[in-house]
Amino acid sequence: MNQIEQHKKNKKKSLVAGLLLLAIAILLVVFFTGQGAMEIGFFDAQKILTGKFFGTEDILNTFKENEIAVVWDIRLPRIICGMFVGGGLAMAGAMFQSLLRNPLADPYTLGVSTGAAFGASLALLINIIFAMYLPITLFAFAFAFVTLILVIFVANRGGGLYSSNLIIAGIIIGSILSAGISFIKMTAGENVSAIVFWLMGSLASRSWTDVYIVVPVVLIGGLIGYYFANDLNIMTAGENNARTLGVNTKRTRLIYLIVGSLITAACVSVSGIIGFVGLVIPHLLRYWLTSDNRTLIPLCMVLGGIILSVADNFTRLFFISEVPVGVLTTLIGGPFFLYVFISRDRRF
Amino acid sequence: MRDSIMKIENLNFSYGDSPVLIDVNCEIERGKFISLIGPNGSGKSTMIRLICGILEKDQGNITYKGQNIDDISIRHRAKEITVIHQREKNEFPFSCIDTVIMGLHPHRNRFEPVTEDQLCLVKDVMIKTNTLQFASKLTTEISGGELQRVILARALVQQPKFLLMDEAMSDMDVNAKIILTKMIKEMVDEKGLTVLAVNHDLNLAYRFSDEIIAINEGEIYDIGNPNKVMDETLFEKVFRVKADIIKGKGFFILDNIN
Repeated sequence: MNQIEQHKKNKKKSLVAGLLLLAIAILLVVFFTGQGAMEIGFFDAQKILTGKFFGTEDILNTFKENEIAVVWDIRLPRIICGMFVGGGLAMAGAMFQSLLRNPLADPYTLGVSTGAAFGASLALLINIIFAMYLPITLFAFAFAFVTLILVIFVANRGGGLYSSNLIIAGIIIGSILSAGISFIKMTAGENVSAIVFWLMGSLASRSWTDVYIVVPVVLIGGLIGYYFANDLNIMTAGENNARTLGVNTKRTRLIYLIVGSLITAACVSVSGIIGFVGLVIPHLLRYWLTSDNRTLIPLCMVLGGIILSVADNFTRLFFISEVPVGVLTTLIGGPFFLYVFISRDRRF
Repeated sequence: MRDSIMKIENLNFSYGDSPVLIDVNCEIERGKFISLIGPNGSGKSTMIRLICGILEKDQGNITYKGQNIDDISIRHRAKEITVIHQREKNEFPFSCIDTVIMGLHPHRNRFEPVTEDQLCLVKDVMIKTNTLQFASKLTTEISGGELQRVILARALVQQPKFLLMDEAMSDMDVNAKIILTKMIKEMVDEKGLTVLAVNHDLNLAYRFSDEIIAINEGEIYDIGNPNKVMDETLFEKVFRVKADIIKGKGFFILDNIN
């Protein structure tokens, strides 16, 4: 019974790790809302948050209006965005890696993010040239969605929605859109910096509007992903095996394709292109704990959120002129992943 | 009267212009260990793939327990029929026991935890397939032959009535091959499991099969008792080799024929 007991123990270990990470994430949200140019302590921040959350006027009256505004309207939305973008990208990464049966896949493999970037660049260009205020986030999201449809269409015409077809279709459409972005950048002339900064990925000055876009998509997407996780596990054994094990492979594939892409689209529309979180977090968790997507997907949500939000608050608090967090995640995440990759015991 | 579990009628299949299976007709008898033999490219694997629904047939009929196989739902089919291919692999580091538990998938509802009874079954099968000692190792850490044993365990946990094997044991050592073939034969004799196995090890096929289906260039060459089917003409005509037949024991391949 030894081996069986071991198996049960491993399942418990993942649960404990998950709960621990969740507690850390919640503590971090409160901690970070207290940090910044305006000094507000941990407990004051916590009081403002609970006061606002439950609408308790008594608590709120003891604080100045601008303190409440800084915590609730400036810092909190940015921190929530960081948590959900990081978590969303990591979950989408885990889904795409399993779905495409490729440990090197990430949320950007299918070109959906490039579609979002193209949409955002286009909106920025139009705004610059015609002095308009097109909603960049919505443009990004819409273009990401159109790109997804295109990739599915092309892969399907190219022989079916199989891993290799999807990756190739993603690469082709992604590179066409990249060229489009370059063209837009060139057209923008000396105003190009706005586009360049958006593309680098940042969470600076995100508002509640952004929260309303990213949170529902990531949450619902994550729940759907969690619901079908057993099927996704079996899909990693290959499509044919999955079918003989009783998995409706066509349905499962389409579900994860859409869910993973929508999560990615929402994240990219809100934050620009933030690299590495979606590739590294699922890998680390597989390495440390398990490949079981039923555990992996929720853990990705929490750990991805923690990592991105720590990185974002690092750029917010320690740099005089803010470094885009997308640059930071890749600068720090890259070498770290390199270290893990070289020192691994050939387990993944 | 034969008690057949599966009927294959006028089965035709071609890749593009080149026909692979031509007008295949046969009946698979319930509770028998049947080996499918033939040279490379004769259509054995294609036949297995058509039966388990990986490929779609051009023409013909496959009925399982009297029902057209295309009309059986994926989930229900998984409870009845499963297949083990050769050289399975998984890029992702699942533990061996998690992989075996995947075999329970068609028998479980989505959020039902694995019951103690099911865990007992898993343990039982893993002892039989000699995989329990590396149950918590990752599938990426074990050898090809060991992985094939894990996959066999997964298939048995699925509790199929009809087991298809496509050279499932070709990566295993001689000892494991004999032990597992005996074990499967036991399940055939005692529990009424039906097995259709593509086998390149003709000696094993001869010793353990109740029936042989010999297939050559997409057509059925012969069907029947191993003693009847596996004779000198089969070796000469189908496999293009000269063989010494030791009745009741096996074969010794002498030389090729050009």
